[in-house]
Amino acid sequence: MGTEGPITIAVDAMGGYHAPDEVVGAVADASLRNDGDRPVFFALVGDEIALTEALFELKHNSERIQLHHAPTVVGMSERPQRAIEDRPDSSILQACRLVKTDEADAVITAGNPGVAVLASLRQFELISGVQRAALASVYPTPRVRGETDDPFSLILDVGASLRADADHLMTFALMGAAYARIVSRNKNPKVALLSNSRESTVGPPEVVGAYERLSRHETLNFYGNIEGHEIPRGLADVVVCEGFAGDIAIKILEGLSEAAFDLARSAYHSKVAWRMGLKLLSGGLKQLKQLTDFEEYGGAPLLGVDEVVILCHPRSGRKAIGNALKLAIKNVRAQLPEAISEDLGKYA
Amino acid sequence: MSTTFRHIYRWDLDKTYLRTEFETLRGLIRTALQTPEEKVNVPGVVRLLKELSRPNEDGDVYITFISGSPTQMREKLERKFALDGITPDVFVLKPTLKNLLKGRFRAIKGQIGYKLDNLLRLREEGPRAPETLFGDDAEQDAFIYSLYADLAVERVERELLFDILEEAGVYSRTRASILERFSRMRTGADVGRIFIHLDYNTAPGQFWVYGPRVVPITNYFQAALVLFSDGVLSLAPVLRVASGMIAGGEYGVTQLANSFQDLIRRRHLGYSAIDRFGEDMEHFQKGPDKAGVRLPDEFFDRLLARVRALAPRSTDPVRNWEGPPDYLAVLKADQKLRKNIDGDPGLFGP
Repeated sequence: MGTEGPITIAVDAMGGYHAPDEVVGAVADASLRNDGDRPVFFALVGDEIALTEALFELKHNSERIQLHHAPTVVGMSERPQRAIEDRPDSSILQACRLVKTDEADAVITAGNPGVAVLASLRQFELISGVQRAALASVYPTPRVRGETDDPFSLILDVGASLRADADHLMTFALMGAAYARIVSRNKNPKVALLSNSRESTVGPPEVVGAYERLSRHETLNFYGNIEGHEIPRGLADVVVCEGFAGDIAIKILEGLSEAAFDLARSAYHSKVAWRMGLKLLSGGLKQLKQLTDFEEYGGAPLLGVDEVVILCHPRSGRKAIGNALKLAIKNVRAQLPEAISEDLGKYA
Repeated sequence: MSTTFRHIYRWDLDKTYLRTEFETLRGLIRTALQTPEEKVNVPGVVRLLKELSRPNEDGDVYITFISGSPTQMREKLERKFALDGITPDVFVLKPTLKNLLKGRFRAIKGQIGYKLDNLLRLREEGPRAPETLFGDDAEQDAFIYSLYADLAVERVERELLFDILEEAGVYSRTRASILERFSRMRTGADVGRIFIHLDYNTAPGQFWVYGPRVVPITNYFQAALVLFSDGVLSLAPVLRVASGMIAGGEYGVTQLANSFQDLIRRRHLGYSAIDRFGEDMEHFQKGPDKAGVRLPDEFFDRLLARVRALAPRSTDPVRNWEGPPDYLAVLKADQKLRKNIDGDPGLFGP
């Protein structure tokens, strides 16, 4: 991955509940955007006929899109190990392979997350000093941070693996801080551990162990433990947890936003007075929806591997995939894996 | 006319040959004020036209331009052609001022009556040879050219043509002229390819209604490849078009390789043509004479890689064509679309 020359993003066009149409739609849109000093190309991986048919009906710039035929697709409920062994020619594996062979600089998929993680771990190397990769997701908070007044906090791991020991949590903290420094341009991010208590001695042994190590770290801005209800308040810029807890936490945050708008919608139809009130608030509500809608921030980077990997929510539509593409381009431009590796060397 | 012509190339000008912006008032003014030296060509177009015009033993080529630009632009545009080294046999411009003074406002914007009348006139007055047409997606070139091609093979009858012209809002005088020319039209299946330059990146599927004769292209390397496939061009001219586009700085090998693959996927370039392309390329690379071609070393490999990335020699059609278009229905749908765009009530509308 160089700092100059064109960027190519490999896209698993068959991954996700709305593939291939929504994925191809997002790539078609992206192919029409001006990409500044480094031209960006897209490699759509999937069934040739289905992808050609989808592109046929979309405004796009064919000079910036190439297709890689993949005859098979991994289903959403398939077991990762088995799927990878049975279908080496699947779209998700072929997309990863394009990065491995330097034909692409990043990979995006909204397909089976377990397969995406396992495929990445098999095809790519872990960054030196990283024992386990972590999926990082952003979520909106009332607090802003960094040079760009970024309203998003980062939470990791949100499901690259289920369990993590103290060493893993320690690495997640360092990688999360590095990501916040590089991508959110937050020079000194506050890092917290997610636990069931603010007390350092309460919680599972791995969290207690990680607390002890993080609190002794000389350069990391360690905030301490935070509890679940404190995540949306944005007390920390980076929240560290094991994958099982993180996955549940991030889905609760997504669900809360959706439930709030469902309630508003139902209130709108219930009473004229509420309808008028919501009409008056509609501008603010629209902004709030933009901030809290997962489609607005698209994908979760897999941190710890030596390539840029972005996993999208399987429910992702055109907008979410489009934002994931922007994130991938941003991470390639920032040479994220190299930058994290450098940061880990400096702060570990 | 004693000269033997091997081929006729009929061109549109703005957005097909020249990069023109007429969507905004600013763009229109800029276009009107541009000197010939400031006018910019669509990449590859001049090289392609020169390659198509190269004299050979089969005869000359006949080049016509029918442009929607006003007649007042003639001097500037002819000077631009001279700068490019292009000499059209016929160059038709639109009598916009005359239309304005006569209150023929529909004729100022409308293209169907103007272009079809002139296509039929040039066919009547000009030589007979296979025809290839070039237009773009900004106006109704695909519709007009397809209709012209179908008139030539008598696939459209007089009554239907009358209805189409009426639906298109063509003034009665122009309509009468078209119908009269049609009654005298030389028939024959000599209108071949219709290339539509996708200046607006219009979805290629929108042109499928006209069938595989119409080839939407993103750039002129694609046109050169299809003409190679049709046997109109040999390999060296195709490579010279590619070479010129890369030398111009706007194109790299990746864009051209992607364009090559795009044509294969859309089945405008078949595997027999690809095989021939590969064989000719091998001879060309071994041969001593590179004939003005300067391409990066990886050019051919990248093209080949794009072919290999596709399903092995798949020839399944992406879509089946359901036959000749129902021009009246196409036109009505197009008018409806335009009305909907024009009729946007905006923020404070009803």
